[in-house]
Formats: sequence, C-alpha cells, structure tokens
Amino acid sequence: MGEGEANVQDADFKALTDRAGFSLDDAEAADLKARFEAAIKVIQPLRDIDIGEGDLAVSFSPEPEPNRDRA
Amino acid sequence: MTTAPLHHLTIQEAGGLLKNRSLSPVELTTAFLDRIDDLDPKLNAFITVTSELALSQARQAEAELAAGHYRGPLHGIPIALKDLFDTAGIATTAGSRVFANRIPEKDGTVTARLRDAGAVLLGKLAMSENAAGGPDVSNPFPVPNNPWNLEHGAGGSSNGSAVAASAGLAMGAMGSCTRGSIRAPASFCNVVGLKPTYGRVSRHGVVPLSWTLDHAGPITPTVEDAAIMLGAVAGYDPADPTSSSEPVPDYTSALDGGIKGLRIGVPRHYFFDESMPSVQAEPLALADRAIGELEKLGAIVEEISIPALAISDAAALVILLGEGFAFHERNLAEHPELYGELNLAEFRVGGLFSMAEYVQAQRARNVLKQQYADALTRVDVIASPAFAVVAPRHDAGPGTAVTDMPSYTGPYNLTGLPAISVPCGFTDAGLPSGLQLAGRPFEEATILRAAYTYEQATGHHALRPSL
Repeated sequence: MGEGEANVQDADFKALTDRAGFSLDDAEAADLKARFEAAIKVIQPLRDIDIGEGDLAVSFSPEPEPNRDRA
Repeated sequence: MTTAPLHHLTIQEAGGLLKNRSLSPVELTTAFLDRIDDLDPKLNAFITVTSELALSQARQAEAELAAGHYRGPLHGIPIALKDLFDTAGIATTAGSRVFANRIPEKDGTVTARLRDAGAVLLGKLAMSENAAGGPDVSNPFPVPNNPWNLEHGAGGSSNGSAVAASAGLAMGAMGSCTRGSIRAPASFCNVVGLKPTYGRVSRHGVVPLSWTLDHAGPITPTVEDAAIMLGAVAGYDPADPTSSSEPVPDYTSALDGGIKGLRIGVPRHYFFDESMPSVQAEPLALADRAIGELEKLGAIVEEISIPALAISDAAALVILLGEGFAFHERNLAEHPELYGELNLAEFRVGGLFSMAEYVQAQRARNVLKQQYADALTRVDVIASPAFAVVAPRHDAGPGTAVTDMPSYTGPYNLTGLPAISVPCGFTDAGLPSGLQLAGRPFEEATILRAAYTYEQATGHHALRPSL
C-alpha cells in the first residue's frame, strides 16, 4: 500500500488480517476491507503531519500508581 | 410547593421536598416506576428496571429521613445508570451479547457512591453496543427512541441515559463518554451532559471501551442537577489508578456567580466550518446565537485558533478502536457471533492499525493538549456547538465510529478537559441541539457556572417533550 492511498491492495490487506489473526470469509473480508479503507482515509492527517522530534513523545512515569501516595 | 408533576421536578426541587418531608421517597419512586411502565415500551430507555430494589431503597430513605439522618441532596432521588456501571447482583451488559449474563458481585465506585448518597436505583439504561458508535438496530438490545420525535434516535452511546433524563423516566442518569457519548445524546434530547476532567470520576467498575479516552459523568435535565450528581460521584478512588486526588469543590455553590468578564474563546475554523462533511447549518447557527447571548450576559468573546484540531478525529479514531480492539481481542476471536455486525467490523478495524499509527496518535494528542493549554491561558472557556448534526432518523442507518463528519466532542476526550453540553434551542423540525462549553482541567465549576447562567437566561431546558 502506498502511503496516503485509501485503496489497500488485496495482498496487503490479507497480510494485515493474517497478522491480526482474523478468520474471515470472503464477504466479511470485503466488508472489513471497505471499512478499513474508510478508516485509513480518516486517519490520513496523522500520516501527513510532521510532529518533529521535540518533547512530545509518549510519556512514561516510573511511579506505579502516582495518585495513591497523595491520597 | 411546586405544582410541577413529580416526574418534572428537578433533583434540587425534589431534594428540598424530601428533606423537609413534604414528599415521600416512596411516593416519588412509585411515580417514576409508573411512568417507566407507561412510557418505556415506546421509548426503550431501559434494559433492566429494578423495581423491587428501588422501592426497598426508597423505603430505607424514608425511614432515614424520618429519623433525621439526611445523607445529602440525592437522598431519596430516583436515578438510573447506563448499563456498563457495575451493580452488585444486577446484570451489567454493556448493551452487548458478550456480557448478557454478566452479573457483577460488587458495585463499581460510581454505583457505590450514589448508593451511599441515598440515591434510589430505578434500573439500568440502554446504550450502544459496547459503548462504541451510535445505535445499531441489528443488535438485539433495545434501541432508544428520541422523546422529541420517536422516529429519530438519541445518538450514542449513552442514549438510554439521555432519553430517561429527557422523558422524565429518571431524575438524573449516569453516562460514559469516549468520544462524545455523554454530550451527543444530551444534545439530541434537550438535556445537560457533563463530561468531567479525566480522572475526576472513577472508572472502577465501568466496562471499558478505551482506557485513555473513557470518562463517566451525569446526564440531567438541568445544570444544577448535573452539579449535584457530579459532586456525589467525583473524587479520588484508590481502585482506579487514573483517578485524581484533586480536591472536590461544592459545585452547586458557584453556580450563581454570573459570567461578567468571563473570557470565552471560539475556534471557528473548526467548529463552525460548514464545508466539512455532513455538517448541518442549523446546530451551528443555534450555537452561534447562544454564544451571542453569552456575550450579552457579560462574557468577553473572542475568536481563537487551535490548529491541531485538524488531526483530532484521526487521533481519536486510532486510539478508540485500537484500545477497543485490545480490550475485546479475545472475545472477538472466540465469540465473534456475539457481536453486532457493525461492532465486530469496527473493532476489527482497530486491530489492523499499526503500532506506529497508535503511537503517532498519542503524540498528536499531546500536540492538541498543549495547544488547548496555551489557549486556556488566554481564555477561561471554549465554546462551540456540541454536535455537527441533530438526532438522525433511525432509518439513516447505524451510527458508525468511522466517519468523516467532524467530532466536536472528541477533542475533549483526547485532551481530558471538562466539557458540558447545555440545551440551546431547536431546529425548524423541532429537534433540540446543544451548546458545548469546555474549560481548564478540574475547573468543572467554571463551565457549570457559564452553562447555568446561559440556561437560566434562556430557558431552553424548561421545554419538555410531549409524550
């Protein structure tokens, strides 16, 4: 699948569903592929933006449950 | 004493009558159970009606009040819960065949806090399957009808909660919200929906959809009643690691302060862009008029820009369906037949997103959160329509999570900021719409005050559906 395309190639889609462990008949696969292509179109802005390398990475806290100690 | 029928009393009004013992909790509860018997067959708001429990709790409240043991403003008040709040010994289905026989052994935290506050549980309310998307008539659970037009739905996913509050089947209800599931149905049914700050209300004992987006909050006929219910359920809960220890103020005490000098920002570039797909003009016009009324009431309104709203829907979709798939993965594999066609397909879409897409969505979310934080240093409240459309007809098809229609509510699930929908008028076809007001983290009191001031000045909330 080329980046930015909403049309997913059948082979690429099968690789994705196999990896996800889905067992689909032909009708289910066709329906899911259409929905996935619609979803790819919706999330395209995530692929288009450049967030950069700044400090906006997903964060992590070593505290197991930060609020418990403050109760 | 008010002359309103019992089912149209507010929690505040009924609470006063119960406290001074001019109204009996048993009389009040019986009136609601009778109304549910009469109207729910055509409204479908309830999955389970807990009549015996309700009458037992009402009798207990009556005895306690007679003995001078007053628990607070919810003592003896009949309420109902979306059917994903755990209730000990009562089925909690999440509107799904997967959980159809799930009977929790313990109450969740919200349920327990309402019980401790003396509230009377009328029952468990209908909802979209697994809290994902809008109503789907292929799901065997009841699909609520909109009290303002029975041929229309009430949105998703807390549709039963909004219908019950709107139709006078409960004095207040609890809903949950992952991308708009409190504010959208509230907007569609002319009631108030409050999504608090992330961490403000415990999710312990709430069937999850998306751990980082899920919130719990009240749906009520009035702003004051939303403040009362929030006060009862808010606060730190050691059983929920995302719960906040931020102190809980008295939300009702600040309602009367007015909004003179309150700074209100309006990101028109996103929330008033009629060129975006599926957006209807009337809800936007109603919200625009409401913002003008806020200005007349003393607020200082200015246009602001939050560019990252352009990536909000993309980030929300990946996180919602990705986390939803993670929660449901085993059941999807072992019991796909227990999911509705739409629910099954959309969770599977979540399983096809890549790890990079999920991480990128969380990073985009941080950008949005930072831009909102910057904006909220210049303004106190951000106003918009609550939803881009009014309640769709049932025959318009099921509400899908995958849509190119902009979500006006989703940005506040992504940022965790508190947001409220308050009734702001009706379309020419007689369908209600809501004004959304959002604020800084844990400043629910500010948006409640703004919403209350608007509500009291305009009175849209006072209109009730003819049933």
